[in-house]
Amino acid sequence: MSFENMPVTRFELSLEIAALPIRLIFYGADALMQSRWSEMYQAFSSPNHADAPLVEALVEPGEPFLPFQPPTWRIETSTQDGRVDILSHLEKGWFDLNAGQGFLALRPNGNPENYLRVVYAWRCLAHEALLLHASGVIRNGRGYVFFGHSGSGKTTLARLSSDALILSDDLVILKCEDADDRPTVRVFGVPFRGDLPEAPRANASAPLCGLFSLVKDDHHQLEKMERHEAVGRLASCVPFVMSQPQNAQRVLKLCDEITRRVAVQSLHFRRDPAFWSVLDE
Amino acid sequence: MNEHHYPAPHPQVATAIVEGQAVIVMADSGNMSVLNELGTRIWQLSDGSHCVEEIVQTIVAEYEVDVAQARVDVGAFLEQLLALQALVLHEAPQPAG
Repeated sequence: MSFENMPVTRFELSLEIAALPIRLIFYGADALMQSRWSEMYQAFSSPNHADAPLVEALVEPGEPFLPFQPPTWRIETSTQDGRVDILSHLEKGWFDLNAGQGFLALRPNGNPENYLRVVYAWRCLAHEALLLHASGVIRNGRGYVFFGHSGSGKTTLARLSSDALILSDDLVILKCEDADDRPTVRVFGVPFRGDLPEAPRANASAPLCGLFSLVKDDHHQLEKMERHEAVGRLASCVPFVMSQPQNAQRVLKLCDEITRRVAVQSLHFRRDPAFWSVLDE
Repeated sequence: MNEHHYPAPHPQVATAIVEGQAVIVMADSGNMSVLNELGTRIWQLSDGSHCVEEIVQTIVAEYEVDVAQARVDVGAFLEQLLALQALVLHEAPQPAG
């Protein structure tokens, strides 16, 4: 499908997230949309990827693709033969992982973020990486990841980390790598945000020094977590890709490998920055 | 469920054995369970090739427990996994793989 000859505005975003490039060409995006999206993804802009997977996106008025049912914001995904279909209220599209191309239809008040979240969850898995529902920061050159389900405190800990570089308060990417022949895990920032939209969208990465499962409490404390429990908890925080058993199996394998390389602990915390004192010990 | 049924993993289940304990994921719902040592052994035996009674007899032999108690415990555990849709029951043994 191509819109190259359509008499509408053309606008291109070329991004690289966790070393995975993608190009999005929008048709019908007005100046305000172009300005907003350019700003949102500026730190991840990477214009030198002519061979990157290409997504053509068409902005057009119309009814929502899915009716709104507050307070839940729904993103429905399905997959078959390497093609992921994505349906939300203001966006509808697909991405073919094998062909490296996709299509996205947006309503004028929509944006490509949810589509990119789903596409990157699948692309990460295809590249032996994980998109994880977690907040992540870099402090003194070391990566810290705080994971848990909605309401567990991911955004709170990001807010309380004023002396750290926030990678995201909602999603990060983890990838195993061998640095100086030593098996490690690297945490990458993503241009996606949860409840902390004011945080800069940092395009940065760091060696991961710890994974912390969040527990709201009245004190700060670290607790050792057995690795089998850590694998289960980590896998339960991997969005979008778990709906097929073979992919769930791959996620478990990656979580197993990650927990061999980096310790996972429970972090009991209350709402103040002193939780860093137990992490610094 | 009766002693002649052959329990097997539900097609929507993914599993990893981590340090001797099974982590099972129900892909449909995203629900996870981590099984203890005994649960992991029962899970491993629930591969479609062993009927419920064979699983009971294996547990009796390996854990030196009373057969009546083993029937109760194994039955209750399998019922839990069935309720979670982690297992399905077959009337005949299933081919390996």
